[in-house]
Amino acid sequence: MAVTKSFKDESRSDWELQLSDPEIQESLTILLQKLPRIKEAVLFSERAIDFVAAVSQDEETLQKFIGNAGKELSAYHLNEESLRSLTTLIKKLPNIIKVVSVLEDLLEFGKNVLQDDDSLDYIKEGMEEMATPIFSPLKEAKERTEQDNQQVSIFTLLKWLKEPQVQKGLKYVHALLEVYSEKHKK
Amino acid sequence: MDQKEYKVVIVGGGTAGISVASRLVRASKALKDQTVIIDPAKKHYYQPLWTLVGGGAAKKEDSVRSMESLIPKGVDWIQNAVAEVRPEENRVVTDDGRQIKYDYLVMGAGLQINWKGIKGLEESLGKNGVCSNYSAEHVEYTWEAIRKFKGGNAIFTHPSTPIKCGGAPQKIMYLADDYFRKSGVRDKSEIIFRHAGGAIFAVEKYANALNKVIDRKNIKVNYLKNLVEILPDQKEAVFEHMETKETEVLKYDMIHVTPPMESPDFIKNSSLADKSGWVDVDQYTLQHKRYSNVFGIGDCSNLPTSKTGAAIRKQAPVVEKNLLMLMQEKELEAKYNGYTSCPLVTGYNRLIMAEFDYNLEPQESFPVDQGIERRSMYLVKKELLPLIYWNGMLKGVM
Ligand SMILES: Cc1cc2nc3c(=O)[nH]c(=O)nc-3n(C[C@H](O)[C@H](O)[C@H](O)COP(=O)(O)OP(=O)(O)OC[C@H]3O[C@@H](n4cnc5c(N)ncnc54)[C@H](O)[C@@H]3O)c2cc1C
Repeated sequence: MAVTKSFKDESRSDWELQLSDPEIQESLTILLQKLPRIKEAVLFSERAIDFVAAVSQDEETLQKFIGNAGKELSAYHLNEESLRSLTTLIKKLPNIIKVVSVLEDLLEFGKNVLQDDDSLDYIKEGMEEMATPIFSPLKEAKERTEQDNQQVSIFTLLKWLKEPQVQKGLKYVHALLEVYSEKHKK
Repeated sequence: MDQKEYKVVIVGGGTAGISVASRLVRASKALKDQTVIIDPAKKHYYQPLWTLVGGGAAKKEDSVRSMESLIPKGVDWIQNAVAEVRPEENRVVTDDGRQIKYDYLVMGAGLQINWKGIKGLEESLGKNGVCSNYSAEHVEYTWEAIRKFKGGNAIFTHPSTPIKCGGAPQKIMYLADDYFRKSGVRDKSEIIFRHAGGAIFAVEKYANALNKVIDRKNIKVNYLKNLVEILPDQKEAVFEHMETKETEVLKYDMIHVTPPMESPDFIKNSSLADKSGWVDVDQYTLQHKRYSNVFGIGDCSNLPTSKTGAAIRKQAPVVEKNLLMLMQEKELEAKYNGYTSCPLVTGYNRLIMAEFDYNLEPQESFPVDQGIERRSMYLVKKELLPLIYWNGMLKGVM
């Protein structure tokens, strides 16, 4: 039964994978927008399920019910399987409600952020800062170059060659040249 | 505003006061227009940002909002200080002599900084290398002092009293170290940490991690040394050993002072106080131990946990639920477990996210080992927590 797949059953990495999927992200956004209505629906179905649960546990009523209105019921597919799904759903309700109320708070939080100009500015600035960190090495290097008027000698160049970063770069260039020449031969 | 009687009176519109007010009117329509916040301050500060302001990584203006903009709808605001609490009469008296009666009282007045507790500090703060992130007025000067530091002794202090955010005195030191390395003055300077307590941090797991940071950064730490005087003319700081009382004088080129802190006078002078002056509450229900219609929350309470905004995030729902239960004459069921959190900034882009409870057991929220310095956790502090604060916590939804 598809309905019975539990939140806990999914491993964390599954969740992370799913959350990075744009399609899932889009559905989450839609879900958030629809939340107030979903909550109403859940509350309604909670009451309905309580009722059905009470009825289904009451053998006598059930027998009478099925006896008298069997035909009508089959029109609603209230067979053994759907009753079993209902029971599973009932067991999960506390969790569903918990998730819904967390989502409800999150929705309100999201709404507050969107209505708060200061916070939106803060987010924007944060993003810009991440793109250009406070101590950007490139910016710093540029500033230092402008201030530096010392001569670069052949010995300085030789010293630089030993720097691990330079070595890494040279190895990369070497590998690149190899790949190029191999492709050329073909 | 001329109302003299409210169902709920909240003293203080800081982190605790605003959070509880929002929660109460959200949870109970009956409390709308029946709840008042009394606070003289025009401005409300998100103080956790001050570590980053002092370190030059955030702007002070992002840490402040007008009080008016934060008072929740359906809650009144009396812009006065409470001068006296008379719990026997269910009444508070403001400094302009107004008396306000309550059915239920929530004490969230924060703590009081005792600048005078260190001789010479008040006069010298904000100039000539003497700075403190604990001062709303001077927090930006910390960054100036760090930026202009050209080498020599950079001293950081931690006092002997309880303080808000126990990690803040060392966080600014780690940022300074990081900056000194980048500005090329670290090898010409000595970073000195004088701590009046006996250990770097109360929780073993995070203490171990911090001791490694201190070793790596080559910081000179001394315990049981309490700052007692600043001599600005000589640029000297006087320390006293907590046990032997022996004094030690150190030259400074910059000094970041964490001043002693205490319970506000009007609480100390009231019958709400315990022996040390803090509001005397049950550590689980947050209900006052003698006056059952009084609750205490946040920095002004005597809860045996670290005084932080993060702790208040977990205390506020407990006060809300228990106050509503009390109103319905039900047993108080909500319990606070002492949760508190200290985002220990260890450099620009590095942070150990300490979270723990009354038993000093880690209570980590993220699916990673938070005892390791992480960039992700730094981003949580810098980018996410302010948003959660303004839009979630102060609105009563998170
Ligand atoms: C530098 C620094 C760094 C920090 N870092 C962190 C951090 O990283 N994480 C974290 O969680 N916490 C941090 N904190 C701690 C956090 O800011 C406090 O614990 C929290 O703000 C306490 O909230 P509160 O409501 O108890 O007090 P406050 O927010 O201080 O509010 C108290 C309110 O009471 C009012 N008041 C005072 N006296 C009276 C009176 N007589 N009558 C009426 N009203 C009165 C004041 O005007 C104020 O508005 C930091 C604090 C500082 C200073």
